[in-house]
Amino acid sequence: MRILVAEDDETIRLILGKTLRELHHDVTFACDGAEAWDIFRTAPKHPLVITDWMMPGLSGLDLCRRIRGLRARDYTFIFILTAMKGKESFLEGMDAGADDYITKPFDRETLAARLRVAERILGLERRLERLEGLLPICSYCKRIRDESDAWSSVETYVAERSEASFSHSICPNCFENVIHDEVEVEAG
Amino acid sequence: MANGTGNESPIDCAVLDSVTDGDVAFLQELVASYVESSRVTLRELRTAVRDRDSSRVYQAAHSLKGSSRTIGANAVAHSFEMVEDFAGERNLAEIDVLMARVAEQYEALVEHLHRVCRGQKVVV
Repeated sequence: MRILVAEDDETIRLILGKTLRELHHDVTFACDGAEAWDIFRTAPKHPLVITDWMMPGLSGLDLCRRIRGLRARDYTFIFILTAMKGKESFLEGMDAGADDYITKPFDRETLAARLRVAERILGLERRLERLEGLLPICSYCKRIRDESDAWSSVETYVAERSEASFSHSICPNCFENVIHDEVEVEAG
Repeated sequence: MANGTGNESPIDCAVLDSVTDGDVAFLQELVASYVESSRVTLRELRTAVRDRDSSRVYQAAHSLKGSSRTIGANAVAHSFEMVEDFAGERNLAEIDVLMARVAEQYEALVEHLHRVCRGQKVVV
């Protein structure tokens, strides 16, 4: 996953970089909030941002608010990384638009688990966007192209992505145009 | 485990080991990075204390607390946290008292980290 990390402390950048690369993520670093904001707006999409809270200039909370203010079509999952203490700090981070909160010093296994949760949520978000948005459908056979570019029937596509199940029946039009004609042919 | 009493080891080796995962080259890079950046921030902290600027004291102490704790330097991190808390209360008089202890702990930590990097057995 492409991850943008905003952290002004070089030591923590080093440790985060090593950890995230070992977890097979593609990491871009920003040394403060302003640089992170520039990268976020101009570089290819980063679906996940990890930001320190307290940075000179643009803080992690300001960065969160700016990202949420974009109202982008693709969702960005944001972690706040902080040594701040207390419930008030947690709530302030969440109110600014963060999705999760990691305290320093971070634990590698906990970070890995939380990143897996973030990936799951981003995957669900992409599927939801696709269901809410335009579905690429074949003009002839009416099959639908999914997220992995595979084509499947409408029934399969919807059943795999929702709790809907299908009861097969015949609409009045098809009864008139297909079934009625077939019955008449059978009857001679 | 560090408790800030001044009698504990400067570093929790279990934390440092888990961060470096036995990678000696990374350990040396990490220690060099920590010492270089923390010296700069510690200088900023001293200047801010001298200028009686609680806000800058708070920011510098907060930053030093985070990086120190991340490498397992719990004793000095605890002292930086006390400085941070006093700065939040604008109690600079207590910080003046603390700074001598912070400097002493910090130099002991740097010496300890250099010994760890040289691969010397560290007696805790």
